[in-house]
Order: sequence, then structure tokens, then C-alpha cells
Amino acid sequence: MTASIEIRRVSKRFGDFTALDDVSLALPGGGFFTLLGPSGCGKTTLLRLIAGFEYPTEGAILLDGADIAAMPPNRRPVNTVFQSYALFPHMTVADNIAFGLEMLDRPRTEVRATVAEMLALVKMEALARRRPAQLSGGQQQRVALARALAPKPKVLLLDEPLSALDLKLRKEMQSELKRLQRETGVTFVFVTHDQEEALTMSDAVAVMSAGRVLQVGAPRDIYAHPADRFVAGFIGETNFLEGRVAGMDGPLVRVALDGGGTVTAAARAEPPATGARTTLAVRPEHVALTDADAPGALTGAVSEIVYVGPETHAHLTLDAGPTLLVRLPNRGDGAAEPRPGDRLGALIRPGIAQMLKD
Amino acid sequence: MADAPMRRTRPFSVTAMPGFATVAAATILCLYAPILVVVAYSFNAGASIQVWEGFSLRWYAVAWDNGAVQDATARSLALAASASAIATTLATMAAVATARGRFRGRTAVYVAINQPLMAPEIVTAVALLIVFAQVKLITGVQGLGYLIAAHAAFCIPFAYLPIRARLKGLDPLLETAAADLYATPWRTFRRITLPLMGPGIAAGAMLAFVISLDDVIITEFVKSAGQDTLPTYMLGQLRRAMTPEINAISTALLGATLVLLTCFFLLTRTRDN
Repeated sequence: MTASIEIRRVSKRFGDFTALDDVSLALPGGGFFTLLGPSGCGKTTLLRLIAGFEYPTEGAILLDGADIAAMPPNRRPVNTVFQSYALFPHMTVADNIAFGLEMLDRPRTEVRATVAEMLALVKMEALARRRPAQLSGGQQQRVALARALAPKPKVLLLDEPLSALDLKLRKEMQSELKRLQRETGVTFVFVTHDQEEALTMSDAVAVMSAGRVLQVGAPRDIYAHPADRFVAGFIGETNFLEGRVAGMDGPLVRVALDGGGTVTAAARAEPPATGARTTLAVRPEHVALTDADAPGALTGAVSEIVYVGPETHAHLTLDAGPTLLVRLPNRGDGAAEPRPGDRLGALIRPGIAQMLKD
Repeated sequence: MADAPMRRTRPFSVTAMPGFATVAAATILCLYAPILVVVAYSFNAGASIQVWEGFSLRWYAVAWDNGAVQDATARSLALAASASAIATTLATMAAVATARGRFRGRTAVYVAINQPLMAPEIVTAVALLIVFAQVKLITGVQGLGYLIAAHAAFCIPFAYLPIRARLKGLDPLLETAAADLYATPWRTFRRITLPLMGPGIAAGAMLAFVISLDDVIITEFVKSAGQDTLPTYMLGQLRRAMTPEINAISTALLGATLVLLTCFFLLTRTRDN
């Protein structure tokens, strides 16, 4: 049931525009896989290539080892949940769900049983005889899911299916999608530009930009160890610190920051050359504020305090030049909050800053 | 800019012009008064179309019992039904090709389909007369087929326009979704495109039917002896003494046309919901 997809050196050009530039990706079967990137990064194009709505200019798309790149969409065991749902307006909910099975010429009894099963799966039994126009956005979403899952595809493609829903419904549908993926075991390929959605739902994420895949990994890896500046900036908030490699400290790298101060950071795979310029990424919640004279702290003055509810954001302008964003959780224990103008130190634990690819 | 003097400028509206109401009323009167007079005199008890002698349905009965009227009506209906069926089928195919297909010369095709709307009808009529005369001479084939072919040809653009408009408003993603759900192109057309085009096709068929029903010029040129349709029969009657019978026939034709056109507008009104 679980099917793996391999994208092998795929490029897609529309005239002069390169939508995908030599993309290679291996999606293991049976997981929740997310293509994440800003609009225009090529993620939807990649999805359409897997679905068969477009054909690659170069490269191969392998489903369980067989190249399907030139196969028309109606021959691929792959179904799609569209961003606008694309439900058939002249058919009832049940007829929409039955459509794929009927096109596969499944026996009538099987069609009826599967439709009932799917209606139950998405909890839409009561509305089976309604038309799409009589449903809310969330209900239409469920029907679109049921319709795409009914033929038991090897791979389910989801093209930003949650973007049209309001925040509360979106949260609900996120866990609903996770549940459906677990229960059906179908490989989900999910496209989104919402990094939070990608982190919370996925087993693996591919971050894309300008037609290329920049990094593939589990949400934790991508967040904790972003490969480059784009990934670090696109996923969550990040402080960037510039400096030069001063030397090794076991597996870690000592980096002398421009303007003073040293941070011990996690290295990338290849050991860096001493003296090389480098950029470090530090997550705002990984920085601790201490007294200005604490050993090893980067010193600076608080320039701004922003209260956002669960946490307070402190902007610390370092003596070395850059401003650090620091997230302080509001635990409600009455701890004194820093105030603008306070002189404080910022502690960055060894190994928590990540050295980026240039 | 903020302290520039405020000048009240109203957007130009023709309804605000002096005398608008008068002109509008006069126009409507000119358009509808003659028709109302024709309708009114169809109920005249006397034999005049100008002197009112009391209400009666007499002339409807006369027209109903007139064998020539019956014959012409039957021919008109058969002709309109066949011609609109053919025209609608061809127009549907043309609409699918021009709205969905991507090929060179689509504009040329569009112009060609709509040619009967631009070409003077009398020219088409003369051309068809000459061509059909030749064909009849060579093949010896007579019959209603010539009229059906001629009517189908000039009905195509009238059927085509509402069908194409409906198809243009149809989200192509629905066809993509059907293909994604294992439908072959033909089954996608049968199960998705065609049903959703339904109202447009019905509207096109009705418009074509009405256009065929009241055509005079081309019919007059193409028809053989004894092939009168209702409009050409009426034209022939005008050369003789006129009785309110002609008013009665006109009124019946007007009623039928109004019913069909009402259906047309209901069908082409804003989409489902």
C-alpha cells in the first residue's frame, strides 16, 4: 500500500521561465511529506508533475521504481486534493466520492461500500445527498479529501488545501489530515507556504526556493539545523551573526564575531577552514539573557521590548553591532522583565548556533 | 490637494438628461404600439384589420381550420426542430474546440462561425439559391433537406454564443479533477463538461429554434413550390385582401416566441445559485 516516489533530476521550463531546476528528491512511502516554500518556488509545479497535469522538460518521476513521467493523469494511481477543492457542482457529495471508483469501473456494490466507508472516515454521512454549493468550506474540504482517498490511491497530493479555511478550522483540519494519513497509510505529499503547518504536520519537509530544493529533513532537523540562510530565515525567526572561523573546539567551531565576541557553533559536515568567513544562525528562544558581566556573554543594551502574550520579545543591540532578538517565555512567576536601556548579556550555549552554508 | 475647492461632479448619466423620460416613453410606444394593434385586431369580430367590431376568437378558429396554415405550421416546426438540433450539435462541438482547444487560427475559426451574423442575409439567400439549384439539377433530389441545411447554417452562431459563454464560465479545474480521478477525456466530457454545459446548450437550442421559426428571406429564396413555412405563407397572404386571420397567426407566433425567449433568459441568467 505504501508507495515511494523518487524525483530524479527533474526540470520544468515554461518558455524562458524555469519553474523547477534539476530537482532530485526521494519520498519514502507511507509518510506525511511536505513541500514548503514561498509562492513561485516551484512546489505546486512539482505536485502537478507528480499528478500528471504537466510533464517534466527533463528528468524522471518514479513511483515504486517505475517511471510515470509521461503517463496521463487518469492512468496514475495518484489523486489530488485541490486548493479550491474542484468538487463537481452538479453531483451530490456521495456521487462526487463515487466518481473515481466509477471511472475505474469498480462493481456497484464495491462503490457503494467504499463511499459509505469514506463518508464515515471524514464524518460526512449526514450530508451525503447534499450538493457542494450547500456545504461550508470545511465540509467541502472533507468531501474533497474523501473523493481523492476513495479510489485508494498510492499517493495523495494536497495542494495548499487548508489555505481557504479560517484559523480555527485550519487547526482542526491539520490534525484531521494527520489522522487520515495514519489511518489510511497512504503517502501524503502536502504543499504549503505555511512553515508552522509544515513543521507540525510532516514526517519530512523539503524546503524549496526558486525552483530548487534547499534542504530535506525531519521538521526538528530543519528547524534546529537549517542548511542555509534562506531556510533559516524562512522557517521560524532567526538571528544572523557574521564572523570568521577562529578554530575548532572538538566537533564544534569557534567563530569570532565581527565587532567582538566569540560564539561556539555547530559545524556543517565539512570542517571549515580557519579564517573563513561564515554566518551563524541562532534561534531567538535559544538565547538566554544574563548580567552584562557574565563570562562568555555578548554584551549589549536593550533597545525594545515587545509583549506578545505567551512570551516577551527583547531586542538587544550588541556592542558588536547587530541586534539580537531574544524570546523570553512569560511563565507568570513575576520574574522581572528587562526594560529598554538596560545593559545585559546574551548567552549562546556552545553548539546551539548553527553554521550556515554560504 | 486637500484644500482645493470642492466641486460637486456627478458622473455622466443619460437618465439625468432633460426629457429622458419623454424620449423613453415615446420609444417604447413606437416599438410596442404596432404590435399591440396587431394583437388587438386578432380578436376583432369583423373582417377588417382597421375597424373594430367587437371581441371574438373567430379568426383564431379560421386560422386553425385553414389547411394551408396547418401545413405551413407543421413544416415550420419540423424545420426549426431539425435545424436547431443540427445547429446546436455543431455549435457545441465548435464551442468546445474554441474554448478548450489550443490551436493556430482560433480567431479565424471564431470569425467563420459567426459569419452568418455579419453577411447580409439577402446575399446568403441568393448564394444558396444558386448553389441549391445546381445541386437539385445534378442530383435530382428534392425535399425539405435544403431548407434544413440552410436554416442550420444561419442558426449556428445563435446557438454557439450562449454555449460558448457557458463553457467559458466553467472552471477547467473540474476537468483536471476528473482526469485525476481516472476519467478518460471522453468520459470527462460526458460526465463533467456536457452536463455542466447543459443550460447553455438548451439556451442555444431555443435561440436557434426561434431564429429558424421566423426566418423569411433565406426561406423564401431556398424553398421549392409548396414548401411554405408560416412566415412565407403570411408574406404570400399579404398580397391579397387582409383579414384578421393574419393577426391571429402573428399573435400565436409571437406568443410561442415569447415563451421560448423567456426560457432562454431564465437559462442564461446567472449561474446555479
